[in-house]
Amino acid sequence: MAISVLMTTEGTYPYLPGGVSVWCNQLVQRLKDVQFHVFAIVPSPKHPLRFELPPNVASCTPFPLWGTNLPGVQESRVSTYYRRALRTTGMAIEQHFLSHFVLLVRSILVPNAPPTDLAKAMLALHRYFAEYDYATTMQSEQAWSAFLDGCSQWLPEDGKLNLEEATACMRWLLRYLGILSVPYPAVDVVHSSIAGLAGVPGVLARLERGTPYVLTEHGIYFRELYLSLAQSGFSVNCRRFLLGLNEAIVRMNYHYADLVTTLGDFNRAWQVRLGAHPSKIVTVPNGVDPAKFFPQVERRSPQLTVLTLARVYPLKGIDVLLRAVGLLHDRIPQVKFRILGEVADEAYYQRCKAIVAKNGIESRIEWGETSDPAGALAEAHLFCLPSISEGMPYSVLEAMLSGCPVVATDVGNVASVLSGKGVLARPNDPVDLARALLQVLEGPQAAQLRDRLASEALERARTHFTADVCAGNFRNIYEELTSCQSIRIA
Amino acid sequence: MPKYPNCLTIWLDEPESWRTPLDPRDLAVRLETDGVTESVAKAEYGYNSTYEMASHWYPKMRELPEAPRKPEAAARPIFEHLKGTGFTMPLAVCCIVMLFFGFSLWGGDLEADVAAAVAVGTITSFIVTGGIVQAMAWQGMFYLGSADSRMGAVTVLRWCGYGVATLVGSSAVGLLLNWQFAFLPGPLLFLAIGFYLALGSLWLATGILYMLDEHLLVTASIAVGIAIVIVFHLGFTWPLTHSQIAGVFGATAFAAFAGYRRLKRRYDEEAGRIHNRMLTRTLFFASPYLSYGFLYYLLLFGDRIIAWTAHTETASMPLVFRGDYELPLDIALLGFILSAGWVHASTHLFFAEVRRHLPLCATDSPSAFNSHMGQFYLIRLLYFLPVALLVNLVIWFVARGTGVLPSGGSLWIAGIALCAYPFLTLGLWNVSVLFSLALPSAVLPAAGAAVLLDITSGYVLTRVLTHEYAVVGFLVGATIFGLGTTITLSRRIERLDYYYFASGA
Repeated sequence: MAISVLMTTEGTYPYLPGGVSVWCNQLVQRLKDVQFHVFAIVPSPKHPLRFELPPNVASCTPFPLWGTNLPGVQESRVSTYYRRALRTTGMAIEQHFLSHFVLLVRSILVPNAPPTDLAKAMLALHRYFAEYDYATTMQSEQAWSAFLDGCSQWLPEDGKLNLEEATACMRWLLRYLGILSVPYPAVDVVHSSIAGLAGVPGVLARLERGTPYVLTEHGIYFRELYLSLAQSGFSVNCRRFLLGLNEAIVRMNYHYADLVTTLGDFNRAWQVRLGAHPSKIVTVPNGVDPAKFFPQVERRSPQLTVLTLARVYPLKGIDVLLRAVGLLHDRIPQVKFRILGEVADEAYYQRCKAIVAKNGIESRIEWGETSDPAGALAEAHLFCLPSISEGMPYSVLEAMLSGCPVVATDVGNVASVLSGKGVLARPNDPVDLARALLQVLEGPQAAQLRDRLASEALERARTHFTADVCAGNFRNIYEELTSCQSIRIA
Repeated sequence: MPKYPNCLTIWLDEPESWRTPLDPRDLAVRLETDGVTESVAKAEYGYNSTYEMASHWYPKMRELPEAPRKPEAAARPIFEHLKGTGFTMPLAVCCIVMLFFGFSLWGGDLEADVAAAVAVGTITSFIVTGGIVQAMAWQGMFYLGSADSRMGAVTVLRWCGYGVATLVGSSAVGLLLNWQFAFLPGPLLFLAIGFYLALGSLWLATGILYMLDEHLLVTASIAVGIAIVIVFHLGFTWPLTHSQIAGVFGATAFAAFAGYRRLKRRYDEEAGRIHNRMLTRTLFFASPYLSYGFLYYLLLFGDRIIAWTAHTETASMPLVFRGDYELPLDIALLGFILSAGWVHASTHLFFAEVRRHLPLCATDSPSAFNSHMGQFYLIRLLYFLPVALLVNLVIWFVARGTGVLPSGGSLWIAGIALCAYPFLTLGLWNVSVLFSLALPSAVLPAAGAAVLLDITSGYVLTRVLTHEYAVVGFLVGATIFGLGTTITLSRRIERLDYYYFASGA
């Protein structure tokens, strides 16, 4: 009988693009004998499917965090909603909800509260929401008052929220905890692609049914949260609240996961720092399909071309690349820079365009999107990834398999992936990136250097980073976990 | 001595973008993204790791202050008042044209039975589409405000479709009922249905523009309609009613085209999936808005129906248009137009005060916030009622002095209506705040009671006395509406912190 897996995602597969989505897609496409149920947390219900679901995906449930009139699971039948809402009386909230909610608030607000407390509260609330209406409960006066009391009681004096901040924080909580109202299918394994909210179904299944729970992290979720909070306009106290909430969830995920798969040493160090037990962590690198990405020297563009494949948003450091190109001035006038990827942050894209205009490099830069990354890589002479944060970027692996030499910033696991078979630059440093680009683009030795790097990287990628190797690793993990009777966690 | 890490120089260079690090890990992440990897931390700064470096610098860097948040723009009461008055601009345009030409987009010097048919069509168009426009605005604004423009545009067009279907369906029902009970003779019935369909479509089309905050385009569409009426009636000497139906359809086409263009632009500007919901679910959640729109227009026009159906024993029809009742109400409407801006301005100021005061209150004393807002509400209310009544008194004296309302009966009707409108305006403010707090159901008891008492008292008085006493029913209804919603809102303000939280969920 086929193994059934609940794959949980957040802001990725199958509704949004990106590296994690590519990884999920590869897994479900290649493990045809595994039956997948996909539970996808999405920012809003407006996102269409970006990937064709293969027949072994038995169900796909999107869960929009925002953009719905009511938070929580969306009952399509009015009669069901109405019956549940009627059942959710003040007394039911007092008797069956409030104590668990108070424990949950405490687990979030008190630093280093035991992850078992949060899990216990979440499981109790999950069971409660199977009977009672989520929105009616969470939007009740009792829930709000309990939250305010918790804030007054447990937050330190210098971190006390004011009413405006408390309102914002409780509204976040109201949306995030909606995942506790979702009925999840009974499966053999739960596999979360992130250590955030999407891991909660894994913890619930682990506690309720003893279902094995695998956690795979690409970028370190919590680390990237720091970056996005540092760029947000929220107050310090609101940022602290979001951090506390997410840290509690991340720690709970690490605590209850039977196995944490990681992409390399950089990720592992962060996971251990955030509470994951080293014995649970195993390295499973990403992989790319060598039948799709392979060297095609005959397709190389006649003009020297540097390609960047990345969605346009701040973490990808496109602005840094453009500043570097500006610094190069006339040193490599024959080189064209192609930046292909969806604009995920319009304001950031406009800032990038302003940098292009300021440096007068319009004729050197080509913006666009592509549905054929293999073709774009085949035409390029060099691949450049200027990110300021990464896990194990697919684009680098694809470039390596395509025989395209790589210049990338030293972020995440990029250095260990390249292992000297590419040129590294310091992140967020246009001068250093310009230096790295010149090394492989300028001078009589440059072409020779590119060829050497390309062939060494190709060999390394074929050995370590193919999709079959990656999928095979996960098949082994599923089989091993399901063959264990019960995995006990202290 | 190590050099400053890059993030410190960022703070020095761009203090406005500086965010206080929340802990050493936060600083470590920023150092990493600024290129201070483990090896750099070791080689260039002399630390064993990036994290160690971050731990060393964190106590110093957490002291660096963040740039203060930009204060919210100061409230501009007069601007908001004028903006709110803009809502009634189309009505004002109609009134001015009426003064110059003796007719407008609807209404004019008509024979009594024709006027009755036009009035029936006009009033029923308001009552039937009122709730649909409310529901359309509620759902459309939700999606457009959630950056789900595509769904927002589709939703609005769907509600327009439901509206048109309702208009056509109810017209068919009207035809059947008239065939059975013979309320109106054939030609008048078709005239009434013509106005009903045309005006109902106009309210739906202008509803889109109101929702998109395009008040000027609403006024422009009314102006287009009036221009068509003038050309057809004065230029081509068409009958006035036929010209008006053509004019209303012209105004509808203009408003619908302008609304559609703007919705299309929003639809095209971002990709998105149309996520369908079951119609029963949509109707269930929209039902408070549908009900309120229906009740509000029944409250606004119920007294007219009562007046027109009183003492019709000797008339050829069961419904007689009463010009002597309509004119004083139209004059009194001026008081409503002048105070309509106050509704928008007061709602705006109320929530500006909420946003200003919330950050000043601690989580252990929400009552301080609630009592402050209670006082703010009370002061605003106490300031409004006397001023509005005083303004309306001036209107009444002007109407009497200029001889616009010559008879004692007309002056009495106008006087009572002028007393009623401030309460109606007050009720509208309360409704506006309650809707903003996502409490549409809370307004229904007051609105329902107001309609019930309006019609009941008006009916009894007009049947015992004369048709002019229908206006007393309006006064009773408006007072119940104003005071009832005031009580409802005052109770909610006692826990405004909670309702404000729940409204934004």
